[in-house]
Amino acid sequence: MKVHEFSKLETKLQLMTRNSGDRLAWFEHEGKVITRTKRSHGNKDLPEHLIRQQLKLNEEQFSGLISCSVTRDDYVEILTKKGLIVPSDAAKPSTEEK
Amino acid sequence: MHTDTDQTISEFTPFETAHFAGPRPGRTLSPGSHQMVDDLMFSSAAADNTNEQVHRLSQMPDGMQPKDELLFAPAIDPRLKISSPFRVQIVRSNDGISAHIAEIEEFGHGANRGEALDDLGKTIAELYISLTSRREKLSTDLAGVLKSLEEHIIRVRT
Repeated sequence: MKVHEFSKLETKLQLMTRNSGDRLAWFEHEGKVITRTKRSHGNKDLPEHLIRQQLKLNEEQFSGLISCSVTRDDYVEILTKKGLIVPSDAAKPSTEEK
Repeated sequence: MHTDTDQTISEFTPFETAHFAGPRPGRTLSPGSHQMVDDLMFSSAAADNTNEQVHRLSQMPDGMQPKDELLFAPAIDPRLKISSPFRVQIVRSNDGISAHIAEIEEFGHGANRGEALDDLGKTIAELYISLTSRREKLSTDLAGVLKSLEEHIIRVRT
């Protein structure tokens, strides 16, 4: 994958990075670090399948993320369905009977 | 009967290193022979101009895609020491060369193997330090990655 495609991912998923030459980029949700991948250094092509694996996406979802069909919210939903994001107590549906 | 090809990885100490310049002393390779674990090559990755301690484990028979798998235990950071080597697979693709550790789903990438391994070493160090500093904030998945890293890496300095 191209560097500009990775930059698109970074922006769309609001990946966290520091300005200290980090190689890693982190996806955080509600204060938890959920997934990570690697930032690009230089203009080399990047191994798409390995980045996709780190982001826990299948090919279709990953393509959607690079194009426009998968949003950040969709990504959260995907990770939630996979059990990687545990809904916070506040977001959980109440099980108490009235 | 013990043959050359019966020799297993366990007969070699994990950190045994030497510059690879051919078969081990006393051994000869017949042309086209199947080079399996027997022909364990030792390398300081001199060919790639890097200082990794890299042990090549095996090569597939002639005519097949080489199964390029290494044990990887370089000096990655002055604060850290790899106490147990990582198993690294070299993956060639149109995007270049990747050095991949399946156990922690991490990779290094570069134009050649040396670059990929160098990148991998730096990435592992950064990953370890980042994960340990955010230990309380990690998802179950990343907590598992940290656990695996801690089975290979010890912190020698703060």
